[in-house]
Amino acid sequence: MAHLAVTVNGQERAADIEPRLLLVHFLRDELKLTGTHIGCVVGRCGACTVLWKKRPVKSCMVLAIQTHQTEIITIEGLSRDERLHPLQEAFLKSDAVECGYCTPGMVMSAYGLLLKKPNASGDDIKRAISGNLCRCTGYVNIVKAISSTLAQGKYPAVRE
Amino acid sequence: MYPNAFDYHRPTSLPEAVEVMARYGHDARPLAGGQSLIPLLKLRLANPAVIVDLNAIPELSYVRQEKDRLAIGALTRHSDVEDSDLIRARYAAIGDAVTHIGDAQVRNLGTVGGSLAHGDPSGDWGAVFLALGGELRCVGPSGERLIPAPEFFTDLYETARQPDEIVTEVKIRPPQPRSGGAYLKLERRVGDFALVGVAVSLALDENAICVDAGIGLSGVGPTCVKGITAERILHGSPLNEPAIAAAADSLDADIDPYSDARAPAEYKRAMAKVFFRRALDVARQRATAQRL
Amino acid sequence: MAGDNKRTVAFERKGAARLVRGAACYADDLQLPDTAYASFVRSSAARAKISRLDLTSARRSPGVLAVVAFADIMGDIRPIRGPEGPLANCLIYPLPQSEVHYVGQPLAVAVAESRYQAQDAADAVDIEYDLRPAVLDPEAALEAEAPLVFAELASNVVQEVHISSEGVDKAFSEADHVISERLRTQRIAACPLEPRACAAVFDAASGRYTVWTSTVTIHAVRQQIAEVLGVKENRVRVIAPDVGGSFGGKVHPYPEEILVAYLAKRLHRPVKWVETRIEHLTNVRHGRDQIHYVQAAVRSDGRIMALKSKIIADFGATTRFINSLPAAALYSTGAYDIQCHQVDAFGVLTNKTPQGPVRGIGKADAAYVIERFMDIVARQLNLDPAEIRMKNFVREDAFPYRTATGSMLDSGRYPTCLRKALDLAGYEELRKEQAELRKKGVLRGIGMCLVIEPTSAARRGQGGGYGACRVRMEPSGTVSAFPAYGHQGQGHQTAIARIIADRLSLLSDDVEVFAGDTAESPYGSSAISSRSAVTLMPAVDVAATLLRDKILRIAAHVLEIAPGDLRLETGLVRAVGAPERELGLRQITRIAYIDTYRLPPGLEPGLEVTGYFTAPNIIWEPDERGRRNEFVAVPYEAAVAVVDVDPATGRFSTVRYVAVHDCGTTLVPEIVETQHYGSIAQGLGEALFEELRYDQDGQPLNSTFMDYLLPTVNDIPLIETGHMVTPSPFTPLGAKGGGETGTLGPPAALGNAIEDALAPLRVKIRERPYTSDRLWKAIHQEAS
Repeated sequence: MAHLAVTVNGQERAADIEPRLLLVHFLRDELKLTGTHIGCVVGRCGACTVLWKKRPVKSCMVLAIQTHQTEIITIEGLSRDERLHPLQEAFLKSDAVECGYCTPGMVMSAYGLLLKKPNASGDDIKRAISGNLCRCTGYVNIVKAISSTLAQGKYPAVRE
Repeated sequence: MYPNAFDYHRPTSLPEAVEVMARYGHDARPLAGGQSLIPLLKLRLANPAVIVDLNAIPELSYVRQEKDRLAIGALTRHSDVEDSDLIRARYAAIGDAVTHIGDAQVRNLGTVGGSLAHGDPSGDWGAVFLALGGELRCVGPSGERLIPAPEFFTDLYETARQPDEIVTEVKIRPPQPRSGGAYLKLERRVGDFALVGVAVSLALDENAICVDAGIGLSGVGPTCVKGITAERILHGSPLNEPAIAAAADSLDADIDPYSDARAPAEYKRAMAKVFFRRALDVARQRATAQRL
Repeated sequence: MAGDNKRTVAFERKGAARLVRGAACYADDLQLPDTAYASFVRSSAARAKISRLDLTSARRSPGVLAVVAFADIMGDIRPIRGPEGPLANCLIYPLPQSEVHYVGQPLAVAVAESRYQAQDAADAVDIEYDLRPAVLDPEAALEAEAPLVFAELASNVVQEVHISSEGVDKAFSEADHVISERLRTQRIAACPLEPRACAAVFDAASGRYTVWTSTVTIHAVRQQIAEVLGVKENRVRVIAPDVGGSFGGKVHPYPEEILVAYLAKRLHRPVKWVETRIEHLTNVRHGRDQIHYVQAAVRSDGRIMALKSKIIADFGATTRFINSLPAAALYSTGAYDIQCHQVDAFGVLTNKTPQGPVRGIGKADAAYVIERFMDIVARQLNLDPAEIRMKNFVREDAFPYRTATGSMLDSGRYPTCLRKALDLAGYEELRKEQAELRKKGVLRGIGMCLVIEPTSAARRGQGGGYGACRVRMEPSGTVSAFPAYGHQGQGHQTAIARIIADRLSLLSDDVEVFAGDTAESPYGSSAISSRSAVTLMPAVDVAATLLRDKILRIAAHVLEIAPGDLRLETGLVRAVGAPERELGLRQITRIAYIDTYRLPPGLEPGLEVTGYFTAPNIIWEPDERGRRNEFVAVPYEAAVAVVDVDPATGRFSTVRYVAVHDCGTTLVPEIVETQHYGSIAQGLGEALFEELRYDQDGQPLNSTFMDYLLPTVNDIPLIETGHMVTPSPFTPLGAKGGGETGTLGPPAALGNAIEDALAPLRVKIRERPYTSDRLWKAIHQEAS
């Protein structure tokens, strides 16, 4: 067993875990943050995307123990109190959510883009979500949602 | 889906990492970005007894111009290479390659050293490394050594790195005057491995004669391949159609593609030549456009 | 505002806010105390007898609670019998006794304290196989001397459809041209983003099971669990939590669901199972994989006088009816008026994953074949592909139209639709541009199709002919709705709420939809076959209307005004022409539930009704010719695709994709539009990438997302859409159901476009998907 101390959505969490425990399982099973989803085995679908050290990563491709003494943001950390992040509002307004399974991963990839490149272009948006599969929407409204958020110009970064 | 059990070490210095690797030898696998290793663990195709996490070793992530080499720390993430002004300005082939590795999430974690050490015959970095030339610095119990690019890839997922060595740095030959490089990748779909990938690096003299040529290919055999025969043909040539045609044909001497899930061998062979020509075109344009 | 002002409210998809927060509850999100985890051991052989199955090591694995195979459960379970017909002789157990029929088949199951330990245990199960050569080629498998996939059957052919009109042979003998072709659809998987998952608890005190499962068909799962475990259905409750898509992959019970329920009882613990994507790609029922031999008797002007279709469908190791076979057979004449038609269709067993429905089931195969075939005929006769279609379309005044197979096309304006798509695309300009580009050596192609996608199937022995919804007005005047089935992203809640809100002058927010629970949901089929708009929504409307009528009757009695002179407004009933005479909804509900002495005589208490809608035009029994009608409504779509092919690499780019969609009345246009994009995207996957392949031993060659590629955002071209509304005369709301039509377009339109691009090189494309190596090979073979 190994000891893991990690900040998740601004809260310090700790647990003794097996080194083989994947980050996505730590988040879902230990911390009960089930908004991050698992859609495949070899890291190709992006449903498990979270922010690690402010960068979008696939949490099924990270050992939980690797994140010791670092910071993670999951979809649950994006809404502040009861209010949705502008990106989440945009997903609703642009009708970019159908079954919802890809949505958290998609939103986190988009959020990572907003943090890194506030003036991202349409091509940047596509690159940011190239690793996120959606089987329901055909991506059209998802791109619209991210685009419209960028156009808005101001969106708060989640608590530092 | 779930890796087999293993022990985990996270050394905080290079000597410590070397010591741990030496202790466990073949039973240990180093972990850099994890984007290649972790899927293997999940599929239980790799079942090491020990994982050595290299990510806490300081100062292994950098992109810097040294006197006669571009030095990239082995733990530098693909996305950091992509963002590097230095790379964008002077190492276009590297920029081309990293842009096409996987997707944004993979690039945020995957590392240059890890990519090369994995020895994936369809990996993008391998082709570029072979085309541009340089060395990989490896550190082990007997000390440090530099492995030249052409000697690095030995067999399918096997490299000249010994099991108890750690790759610490990639060194790339600097561009010569009037040079340009390019990497073009044929993939079934964005985010895929290269079905075929070709890196070409050219240096021209003031008469547009090729004075240096580097060619690296991925997806064309059990390892990434250096197109040495084609390089020799291009060297000293005016890069006219006969020379290019001869060079393209000569790729057959060095590549040995096999049929797999991505494509039949025959197609890969043909595409190696098509993409060689196209990469060469871009490299030449970039070489011609470059000011001293 | 409520009622008539529905369109002034900005569109909001009901229930989406919790999804975007990450607060959904899919099956694996369920938190049940003391959950144990199951992991299945699956066959690595395609066709074999299990000669040894040793669970000893597995049982000693850390954290293990149980490891069971057939021998350990056979006393507690009953088999299911196959459907009537050849498969009726098959006894189907959730785990096989000794014979293995496909790679991935569940053979045993381990349960442990953690997911990781469960897999460790499953990996420790020791199996030896007595291998047999796998039966893989369906055409070989249907021959009389072929080895049998199921030893207890006489043949590998387990389903057939034969329908023939009179005069077929005569038409062929008199034809100006006889044109033949062989076309094949590849094997695909539905691949919703959420893999299958289920959890179960058993309460020993009451003898009741509760099973949560990522399914579309809660009632069918419940019935099968009850049947196999030997309990009555009313002791089994099946709940579909949030479901992350289905696309046909979750539309019937799976053995894993039965076993998880069984294990929950055996172990006195909640048991949860989540499949991996690898298990998904080898077990979720596969789709398409049909070979069509089509032959047409053609007049010189392009009119098709007769059509013969022979269909061979690779069923895998199925033990059920596969509806893709009749669906393909019944609609093989597509949108065309071809009354002289003979179809012979065979469903053949092989040692591959069993088949089942995948979005577009059967009709996608038929549409692809007839649409590609029209272009092939056009090219041979030197006719424009639009012209040949216009010549052969079912005419707009001919509806409802019965095809030669008895299928009813309810309404349609096919020529108008194609014309609209061509206009949107600027067809004449495109041809001019193509000619110019060809001079410069650019291989530009234009392809079109008009695909029909019949919805809301019902079949003898399978049901499906009706929808149902229970609606209850609460004392507060808000409404709870209980439709027969739940949703997997199609936006049913929004449509249901809107219908009820409109009828009862409420806001959509005042309607809560509770779905996917056998304890609450009436029977009434499931979200299969795009039937929600066709049969479920009318049932919702029936219920809402009945409720409204009851409310008005009560108000009429109290106010002493005739119901016809009363109007429902927000929260109250008011007299028309005497606006001061009103009665609040809460006063009405109070009468209905509490002060029932104030009800009109003869009127029962309560404000809770179940509405049904039965599809009026299903013809359940085939006639002496085999003709019947299995689908209610027929939406359709005309697509025009423009591509550029790079002959050096075989790659193509989609320059434009134009689609004009007619699914009748759309209840919530925004939802239909979003779903339409997704539907087209799934068709693009089928056209560009998706194909499940096997090697010569029946080993799947691509069972991860590394090699079974779904479209990413980069693979979607700019989609230009248009819409038409031609209501169905058979559904009271006129809706036809829009979920699947888009999927049928890309394989046909792109195939036609690519072949059009390569026409100067005389290259034929007969296989899908249209991968670059395939196109390159076709180009270079023709050249040499």
